[in-house]
Amino acid sequence: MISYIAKRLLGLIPVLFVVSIVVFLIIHLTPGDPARVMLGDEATEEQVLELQERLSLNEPLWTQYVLWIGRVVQGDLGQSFFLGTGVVDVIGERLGPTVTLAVGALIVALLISIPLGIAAARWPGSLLDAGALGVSLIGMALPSFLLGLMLALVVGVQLGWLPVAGYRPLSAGLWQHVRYLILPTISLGVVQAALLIRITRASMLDTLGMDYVRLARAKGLSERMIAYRHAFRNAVLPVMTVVGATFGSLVTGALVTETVFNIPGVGQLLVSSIARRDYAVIQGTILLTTLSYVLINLITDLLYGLADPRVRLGNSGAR
Amino acid sequence: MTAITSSFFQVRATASKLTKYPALLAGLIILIAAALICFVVPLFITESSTAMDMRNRFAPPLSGGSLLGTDEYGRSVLARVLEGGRTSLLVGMAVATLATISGIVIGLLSAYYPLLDQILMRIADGLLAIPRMLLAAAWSAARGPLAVTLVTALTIASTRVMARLVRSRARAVKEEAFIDARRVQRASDFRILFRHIAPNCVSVVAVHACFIFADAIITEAALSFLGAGVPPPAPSWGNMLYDGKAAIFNGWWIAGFPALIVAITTIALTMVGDGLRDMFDPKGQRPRGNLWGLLLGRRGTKW
Amino acid sequence: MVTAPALDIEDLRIRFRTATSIVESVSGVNLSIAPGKVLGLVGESGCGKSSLANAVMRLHDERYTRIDGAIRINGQDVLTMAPKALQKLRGGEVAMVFQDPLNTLNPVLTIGAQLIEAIRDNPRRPVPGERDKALELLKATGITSPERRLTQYPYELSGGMRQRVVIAIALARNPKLLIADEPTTALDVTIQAEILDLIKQLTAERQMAVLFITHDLGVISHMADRVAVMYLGEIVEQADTAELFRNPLHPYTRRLLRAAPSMSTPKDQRLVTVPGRVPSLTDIPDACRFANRCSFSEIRCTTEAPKLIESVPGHAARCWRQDELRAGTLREAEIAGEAMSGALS
Repeated sequence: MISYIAKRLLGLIPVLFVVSIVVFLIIHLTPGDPARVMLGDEATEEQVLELQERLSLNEPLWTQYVLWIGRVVQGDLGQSFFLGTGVVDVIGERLGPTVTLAVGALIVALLISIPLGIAAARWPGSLLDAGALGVSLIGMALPSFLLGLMLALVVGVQLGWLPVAGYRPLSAGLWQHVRYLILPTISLGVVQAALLIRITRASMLDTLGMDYVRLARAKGLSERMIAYRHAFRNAVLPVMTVVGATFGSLVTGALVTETVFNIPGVGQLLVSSIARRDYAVIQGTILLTTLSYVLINLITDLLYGLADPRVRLGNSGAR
Repeated sequence: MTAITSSFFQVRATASKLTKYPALLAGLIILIAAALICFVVPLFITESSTAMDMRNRFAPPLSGGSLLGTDEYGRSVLARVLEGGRTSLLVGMAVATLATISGIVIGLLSAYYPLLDQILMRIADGLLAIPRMLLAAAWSAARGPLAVTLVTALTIASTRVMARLVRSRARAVKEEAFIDARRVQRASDFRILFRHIAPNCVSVVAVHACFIFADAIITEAALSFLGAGVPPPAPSWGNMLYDGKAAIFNGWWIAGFPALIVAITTIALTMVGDGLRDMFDPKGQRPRGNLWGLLLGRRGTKW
Repeated sequence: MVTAPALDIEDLRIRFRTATSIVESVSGVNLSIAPGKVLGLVGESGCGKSSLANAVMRLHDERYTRIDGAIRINGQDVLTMAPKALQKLRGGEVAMVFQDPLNTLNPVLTIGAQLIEAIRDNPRRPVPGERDKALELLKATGITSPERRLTQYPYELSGGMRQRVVIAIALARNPKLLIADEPTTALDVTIQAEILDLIKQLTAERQMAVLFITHDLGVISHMADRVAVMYLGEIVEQADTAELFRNPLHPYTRRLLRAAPSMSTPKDQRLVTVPGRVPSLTDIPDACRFANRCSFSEIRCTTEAPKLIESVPGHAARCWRQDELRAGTLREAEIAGEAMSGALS
């Protein structure tokens, strides 16, 4: 198990390296001089020069990278050009709503996909199966913000049942907090569930065809017991891997959904930073998002290791 | 003459094969219809997509002479949806094609030259770690929102997965004995690569290209929605959604129709991709009940 | 006093539907096993023995398989049973041992969990003394350090051990009938012998009836009281073991017996094979199914399907020429036939 973790951690290093290079280069992709672009056409030469100094833009590229990485590793992601405060602080403020949204959506996704996937596998070819695959198709084709918009249109505007914009923190009361989050969480969760339904179903179908399921049946166990205790325990393994892999799309979905529903999270921050060309914030956000994505993948890998005894106890093989 | 007749029979054979996959057929029909509507119909309509008519703002659909209503500037929603469609479909098509080509090239190269493989795959891994939309958004932000940069950004983001797919398929094929047999016959590496391995990857590539197309449309819409895509006043489905959202209480149709059409297009594309995958998969051999059986709850097949 | 047979299969017909056609894997099989006796079912791959084995407990996929006939276990017809009764039957009165123990044990559950599951009538309600019973079962099947095994996972045990666990699981609730579907085929030869002895010992102790399925005649001679030979979905010969080996009446059986190499076979002698190939299941002839590979076949064999006839009490065969074979008048032709097929192979 230890070696498993160690190997995983080591594998991260080249990935993070490439990511950091890409993120670093973004600022330098702009045609023309970044400082000039940031300051706009009105800027004077002194202002441009001063900004260039401040951002070390006159150094060779390598040096800039090393300087930047050095600061990043120490936790300093630079200053937001427009907000004046450190990038880390700015992002930190906005983290709460985004995380709530993402976690809520994941829970919704799991609650929908796992029972549906298992049921679809137990009765393949049935109406339930067709329904599950249909939901999955829609979820996979529709981007979450689109679903969010449609839900907002129907439920919020036409029917007026739920609010379509805004956010209330927990301090404003649990119901209020939840109320504003229902539509965004559902739209994000359903889209996530789509792929998970398919994977759960496929994995369960595979597992149900295995010989140990046949033995379990020959032992006289009920179909229900077989599905949940024998089959699902095995089927869940690839599902876990997919959850980790799709976390990236969950995060980006969250970022866009925030814009649809006016939730003051990291997404909105990113959008406004893109509009204003606040490069430090853009870089910082992308870096942090990627980091969290990579970490989540690592955690799911570890959880996989815990769940599968063959990995957990190491392949000591037969005695 | 025989060339025409033989291709006729080929078409007929393919067509009859297609009917076994209703989802694939439906998806293709929808797509072709959408393309026709966006590219051919405007030749006959004279409504402009950018002409503003402030006296006619927020006109609901089927009133005031406009089929789908007007937006906050009095512009025809129908004309804007159609033009936005042209943009989105073209962008999607371009991205899918470019990403497929570069994906194939990179994938094949890295399957065949192990040293290159290590380098390329490390880079791909790193790129894969960055969520696709963020990558595209950042690129757009840096270069400014032009259609070209959009296409480039999306292509880069989409190539990685295609490259990996092609690579794994190519490696699998490479292991197969007949490639070694060809080497013994002194076929040059290049030839082996393109003439033998490439055709084997077609199925995987075709399926994934559809998904890239769908993703590109979605990502373009998302980016435009966020303001990092096609800039106004040129319409794209994405920025119509943006405008529509702001005006959501005044006119649901401004965002509603683009939303509907993006949904339909992407679902159609996904159906085509899924259908292609089913069609190429030799393992789908279980007898399938038909749709009526499904609806009537019949279990299994009749004897 | 006639006791009800532990297993009574009557006129069993199994068909299943593929994407393109309907295939009949078992055509009118009749078998019965008395309590405490071992019936060996022999045949090559594809002859239908596994379909039959699965059918006994209705383990097949009901959507694509159709079974006609009756399968009675201690008098009750399995094919018409209600699902709840069937569930009770499985693991209770009937138990099964499969071929490959690595795949038949659930990799993410401990041996103890899987064993105790089998011991309990209701998997959720613990039975007092279940752990001791589990240990007892492990010991009875010859597993060393049973306490340790309870918390181990299947992949941590050797192939032979795993099969012993599978047997222990099968025996958990004292079944009256055991179905063993090629239980030793996937094991090393040395382990095979141990497992076979184990099964023999346990069946004697518990007076279990056993349906022992295999393709290996040597195993049959060791284990079975009676033998049934299957070919292309039909029983072609059935007799007590000793009688079958001494006096085989069906050409196919004869070939099988000859084909098994023994220690006494001279080193330079060609291995005897059965010429020809098994016809495809979708192309079953409406006559003797073995005719195209039989060295004694005559016109009648290719036009009329022979029935299973008991020409000697307790010994039935499905061959038009079995009387001649029994009388020995076909011996000349047989040698000639062998010479001919020898030239062909």
